[in-house]
Amino acid sequence: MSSANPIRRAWTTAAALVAALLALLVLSTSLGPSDLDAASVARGLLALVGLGEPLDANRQAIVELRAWRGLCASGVGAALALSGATIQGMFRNPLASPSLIGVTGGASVGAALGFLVLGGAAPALASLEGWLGAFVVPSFAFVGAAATTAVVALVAALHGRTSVTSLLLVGIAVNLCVAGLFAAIQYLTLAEWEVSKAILAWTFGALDDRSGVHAATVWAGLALSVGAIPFIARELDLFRSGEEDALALGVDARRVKTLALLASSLAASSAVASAGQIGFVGLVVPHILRLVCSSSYSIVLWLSIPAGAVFLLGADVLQRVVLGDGVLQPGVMMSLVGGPFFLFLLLRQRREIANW
Amino acid sequence: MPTAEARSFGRKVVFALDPLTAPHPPAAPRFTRRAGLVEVLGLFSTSALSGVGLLLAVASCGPAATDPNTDSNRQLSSRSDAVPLRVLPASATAVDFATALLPAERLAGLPVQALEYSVLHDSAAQFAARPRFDVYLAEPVLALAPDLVIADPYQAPETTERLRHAGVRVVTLPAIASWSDARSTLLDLGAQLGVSERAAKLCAEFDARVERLAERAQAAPRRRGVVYSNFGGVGSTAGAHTTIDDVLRLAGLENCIATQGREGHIDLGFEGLIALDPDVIVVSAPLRLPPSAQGDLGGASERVLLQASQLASLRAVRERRIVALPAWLFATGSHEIVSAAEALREALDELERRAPPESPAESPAKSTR
Amino acid sequence: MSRVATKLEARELSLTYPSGARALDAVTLEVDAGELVAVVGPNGSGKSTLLRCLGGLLAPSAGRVQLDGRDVHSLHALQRARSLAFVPQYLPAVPDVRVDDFVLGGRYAHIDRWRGPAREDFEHVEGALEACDALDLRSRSLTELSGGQRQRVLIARAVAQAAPVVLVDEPTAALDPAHQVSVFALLSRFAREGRAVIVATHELGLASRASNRMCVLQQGRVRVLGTPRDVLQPHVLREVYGPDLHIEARDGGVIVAPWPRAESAR
Repeated sequence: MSSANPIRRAWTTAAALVAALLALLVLSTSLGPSDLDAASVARGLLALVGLGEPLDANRQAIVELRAWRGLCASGVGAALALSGATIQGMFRNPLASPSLIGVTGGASVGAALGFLVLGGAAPALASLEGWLGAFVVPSFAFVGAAATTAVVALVAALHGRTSVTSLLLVGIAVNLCVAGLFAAIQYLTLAEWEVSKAILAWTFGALDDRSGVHAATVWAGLALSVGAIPFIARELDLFRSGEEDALALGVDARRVKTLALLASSLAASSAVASAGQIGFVGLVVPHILRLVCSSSYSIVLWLSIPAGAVFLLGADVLQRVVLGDGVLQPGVMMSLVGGPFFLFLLLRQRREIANW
Repeated sequence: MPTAEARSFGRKVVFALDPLTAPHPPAAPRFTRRAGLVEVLGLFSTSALSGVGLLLAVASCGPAATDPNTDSNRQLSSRSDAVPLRVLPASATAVDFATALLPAERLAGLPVQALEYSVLHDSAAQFAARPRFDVYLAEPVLALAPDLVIADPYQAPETTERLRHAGVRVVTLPAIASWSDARSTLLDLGAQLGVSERAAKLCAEFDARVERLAERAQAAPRRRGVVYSNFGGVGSTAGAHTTIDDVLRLAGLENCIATQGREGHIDLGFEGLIALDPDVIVVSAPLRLPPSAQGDLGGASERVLLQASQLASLRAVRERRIVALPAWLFATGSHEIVSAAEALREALDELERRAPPESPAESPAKSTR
Repeated sequence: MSRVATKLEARELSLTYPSGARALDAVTLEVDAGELVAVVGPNGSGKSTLLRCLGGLLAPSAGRVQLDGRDVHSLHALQRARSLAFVPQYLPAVPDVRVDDFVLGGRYAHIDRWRGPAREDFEHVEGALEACDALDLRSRSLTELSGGQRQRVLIARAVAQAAPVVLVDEPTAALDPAHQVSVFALLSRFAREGRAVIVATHELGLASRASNRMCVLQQGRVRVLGTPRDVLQPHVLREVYGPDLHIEARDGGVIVAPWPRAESAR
């Protein structure tokens, strides 16, 4: 019936996105400050998955660094986009996003506390303390993200419906609190020069010098969040006409909200734990999908994964091709691009703004 | 942010050397552990709040070696008839110069925050009685009634302006990126402070040390080195026109980055480091050493090198050819560059005695940038 | 659709808001399969609140609602939705979805999570749209519809839900007279087909012809409950709604229209 068309379009889009993702991964692996021919890269990648002989130690290490970078960029993009789409569904508001309502900030405060616990492991050293180190920062980040989301959800929905106004105001307030906490942690750790440098570097987001642990962190978090999609996608679609309406249709609203909160926090925090604060992916990607494909969450949630991966990895590749390595950190770049995009969205919705 | 680090924290000086092997005193109680924090705080306040702030901070830090601004030239070249009797050095570099040139009683006060990065980082017995001030602000400085203040070019211009307004002479140091910059500054300051002979004598001593260093370097095998800092995020290195580059040059260690024609403090990712695969990597030891530090000084950069699995294939890592310079020497911006070079030379000789590096087995991936 | 004999009953239902205001006060009401009960009363008398309590969407402060002997509020949302359909007065937000996708939402409680909508579900959607005379709207967006069209779609969704009990909150508020008549005709048909229907409305006349029983709420209490003829007594109506009414018994029902007395009209 009716849904045949959008579903076919969704499959087409998904196929195109996956193809683009694979192409970008190949391209990303061929980019770097040192000369490596395609054959060496291919051999190094095969060796990475246990096929064939590795290259000499240094060149093998370089190929692996590039592979982790590509996997981190795509995983982080996918996780942030999924988190954003979920949050938008949960708040019934297309202007919500993990960075806007303070979820990424909350995750960063958690991560900063994690650094404190570890005594200043640089992000490049997520493997530093072995599995403990790999575990501490992501779980602290998760607790920070979940707590922030819960606060926003509670406060913004105090009077039933979550309006744009209350959501954005609560987002501002939460971001202020989070920024204050973050600044306090930074101030209190000034005496620990290495801890404070590690925390500072975190805030700008980084895709350089990633390890297998970083890639594993974000993809594991993403995989767990994806597990929630079948339990929230159709429900979030029904949420669009109001929570009580969904309830009347048989949706267990509380369970859906809890699952959505956990999934979005987990996705956002694993992204933050793996690459620091990167904003706006979660806002932009679901929007583009709605424009191109469908506004149904059954479609947007699934597609946000390959779309987010393509978006961030593509931006990373583009930046490295155009600007060269290490010119702009991805978090900074996303803010430069995403801020104006958000303004554009606001202007498009100015009728709603006029009613504030 | 490496540039900010080097510029804000650098500068210090010493007479007695060998800081690598010298035992570190149990935390000197005279000096607050917060020394340097205000500068760190300033750094954060400009950069932590926004990406733009970061960009500005980086931009304003730039490569250390640039022309001294005209204002500081004027200051340094102007001569006053009155010999200043109460001199107040406001930065770590200024402390290095002032304590080298003047007897303790001519110092009106010392900056608490900068001492850890100065020659007074671990012993200041003869200066223990001098008053201290926390922050380079007009009020605390004026309270010490100096007749001449020596400040770094990066220090708050508003404060400098206030001080001049209040009738205090303020000498702004030029940007220093090499031993020769520091040498001419030392001579200029000597003239301004009325201790030209002392300055000339010091210069002669340091010239002799530089000469001895050159001889030692000549006698030793030529090695390729890279400076590396990593406190999280992307690591960084130093190219030409940086004080640490001059430290490497004086010590006879080739700076691979400068050889490539790159200048200033720049990012260096793991891939770039692996592509260079240097014989020796020079890092900063932590500002405050743990009481038991021996050999492995445990700084963040060194930990990254030793523990990041991605870097395990580096020769300098496999063979433990990592030199950790004490933080105050790593960042020095005064004539103590020579001391830093001596410490580095000493460490390099020690490495040579232990075992020469393997020659690179096959040429690593060539760098294209 | 299910034709199992069903009974929804409210016993001594009370609801007090935190402010202390009493929305419902010991309301007792029951409706059987095949019966249409109209709940009437002035604005603020508690009609919507009563319906939401009956539908399990709002928990009462005292009393209970039972569906065939089981407490509605202890049912899982899915079970409840299979037995009880609720048609809200309006949607707090109107999503930009196709009408047939929206009506398919009514099948939520019947659709297997992993298999997705089955042919049976699509048939229910089609049948519901047809029953509500909305088949021609199926590919339009919900946001494009007029008030009357949207009301029909809302009811169609409840039909697709195939629940034996249907609760309808002021379905005719935005409709012109012809559409009001057709909505009540539809509700009567539901009852004749064996559903238990409760409708809250201000259309006393239409309700009196369509319903089996009527319940007049006043300040959260049942003022009177019985057949339309028993309930729509002029003295009761004037007491509840005030004096400006035209009341006229006709065709087995009672016409009640707002009609200012001569002095009020001036």
